[in-house]
Amino acid sequence: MDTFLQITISGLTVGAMYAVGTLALSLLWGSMGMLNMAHGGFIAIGGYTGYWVMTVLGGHWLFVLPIAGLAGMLAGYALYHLVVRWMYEREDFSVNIIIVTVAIASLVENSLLNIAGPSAMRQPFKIPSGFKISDVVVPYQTLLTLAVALVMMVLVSWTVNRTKVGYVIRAVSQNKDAALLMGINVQLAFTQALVLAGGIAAISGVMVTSMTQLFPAVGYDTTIKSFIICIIAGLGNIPGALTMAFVLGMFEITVQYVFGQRYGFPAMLGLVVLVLIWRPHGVFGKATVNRV
Amino acid sequence: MNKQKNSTSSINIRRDLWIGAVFLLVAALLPIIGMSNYVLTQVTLFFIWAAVVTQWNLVFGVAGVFSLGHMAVFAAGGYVTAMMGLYLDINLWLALPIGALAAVIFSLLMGAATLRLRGPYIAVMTFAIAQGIYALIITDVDCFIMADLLCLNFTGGAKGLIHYGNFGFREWLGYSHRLWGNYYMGLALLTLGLVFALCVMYSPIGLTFGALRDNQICAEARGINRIRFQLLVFAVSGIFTGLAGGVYAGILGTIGPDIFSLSLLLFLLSMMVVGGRGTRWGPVLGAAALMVVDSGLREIPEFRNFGLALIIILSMIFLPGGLVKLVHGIFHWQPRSLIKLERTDQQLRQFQNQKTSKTKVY
Repeated sequence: MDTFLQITISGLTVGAMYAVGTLALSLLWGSMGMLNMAHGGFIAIGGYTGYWVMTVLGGHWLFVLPIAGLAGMLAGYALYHLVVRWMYEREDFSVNIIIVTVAIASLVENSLLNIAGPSAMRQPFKIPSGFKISDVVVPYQTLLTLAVALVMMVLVSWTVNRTKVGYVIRAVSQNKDAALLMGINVQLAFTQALVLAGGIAAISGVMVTSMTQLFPAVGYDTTIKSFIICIIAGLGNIPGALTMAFVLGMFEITVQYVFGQRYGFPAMLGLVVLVLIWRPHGVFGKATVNRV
Repeated sequence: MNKQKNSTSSINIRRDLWIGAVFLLVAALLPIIGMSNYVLTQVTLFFIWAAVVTQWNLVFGVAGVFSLGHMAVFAAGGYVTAMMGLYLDINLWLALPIGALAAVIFSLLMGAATLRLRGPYIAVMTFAIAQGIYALIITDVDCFIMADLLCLNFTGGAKGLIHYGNFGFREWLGYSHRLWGNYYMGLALLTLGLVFALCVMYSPIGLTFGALRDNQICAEARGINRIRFQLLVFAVSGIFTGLAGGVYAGILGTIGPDIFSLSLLLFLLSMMVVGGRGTRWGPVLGAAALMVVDSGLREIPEFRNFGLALIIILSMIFLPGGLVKLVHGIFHWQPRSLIKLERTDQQLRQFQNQKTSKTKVY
């Protein structure tokens, strides 16, 4: 019974980490059709900003999340104006952006490596202890990550579905030309989506690094796993992505417990391939009809 | 119309043959002129990377299947070749085709796993597959064989595989000329790979790949079996990628998980992007350009990835057609006014066509 509980708690912890990392990716993919491989860069930027706020500036922990979010927003703004705006009007945007964002991820990683050094650090934004349920420790950090993931999901859903900014972003994602003809500022909508996604990714970066460690390539692993979760959940389906994050987290931990640590990720991949053969648009995805 | 098209394609073939012949002649004579060992090794590496990117271009550029897992195919070829030499004591020359076969099978499996996916999904999935294999290799700590009280893992683990033999150039050519053997081996690999890739591109199969890339639905409506051709392109590109992996393993004498690293993927990707993806000579041109830039970047190793990433971003923004298009533009230079005139003419014709055609296809 204790083993079962332990696996559940560990799965929940890993799932919370994946869930929080998936949000921004899902948002950008769903709204702009932009596969952001530089997601890991945003996560690293958020993590390092949080670290610097608390150690170098000596700030209170209350400031960590807002300032990290601001830094991410700035990065998103820069990403749009330096790179994306030159590309989205050309054909093959969805593929070109993958190539460019892979390069940007490497750029950010290399810069952080030169600025902060290669050694892994401990993220100071962390609640250390936990409480016990019959010999199994439930870390407070897990609950905090869960709470942040849920709050951000509600915030994102509300922004996308209820506010004017959200209407504009959705209109542009559905039909750019029609939106332009209706007098919508397409460039502004794109910027807003990227700024929003950047901020969320950076905040999730603080949460992710506080559960692992802080090093320049920290976002890499999370990005790959977030992508897999996005794919298996279906394109841009945020609640679906969160559900799958927990399902896959549980699955990974179970496999790690039964077969050994090293088979967790490959088993997860195998499961995803099988699921995609069964449902090519993801578990929660709807089949879309492509027109010629 | 058809006849005219045939004649342009035969002109293209003839031009490609001339370019290839000149390239081969220059490359074959280079070591005789006398070059330092460092340059010789770098050029050998250029041959291998150019061969890999040429095959990758078949999948990524010609067929439009955005596989980011091509280095895993390369690794499959290299690792199997090395393992054949290490565990079964097979001569590396014999192990090469076995490695290529393994790479083809692996490539086919990867193609099969991504069959039902589209565009960006494929990029993520293949990338994840490569990362999964990387994770399996570096966490491999079980002893497979014991040699001199040293524990050797089956895949070599994080250290990689060593001591599996070589191509025997040192015995044939003597110590001072052993690099020549590597050099000509690499050149042969690139030449054969290029001829193979060009044959595929000019053949009906290559045209089918292009049709599936440009408009999949129309191509399928014309009776093209997408599943068969996607598997075919993965298999076709696997052959010389696997051979390149084996040659790499044989020449360097070591093969490790650093093949899967992001910086190497970025390096090869930038070769394809800078050269011009989907073009015939883009990969070779891009590989040459990147090797030159990289030898400069090696002076400042901490900024190497930074520089490579910057090159990719800048060339994607300012040079979307790649170097090939730039060179083409130099040879086919036209005054700006003429280009403008041609464009308006084209637009006018398009407009007339739209007006006359009664059924509009959406």
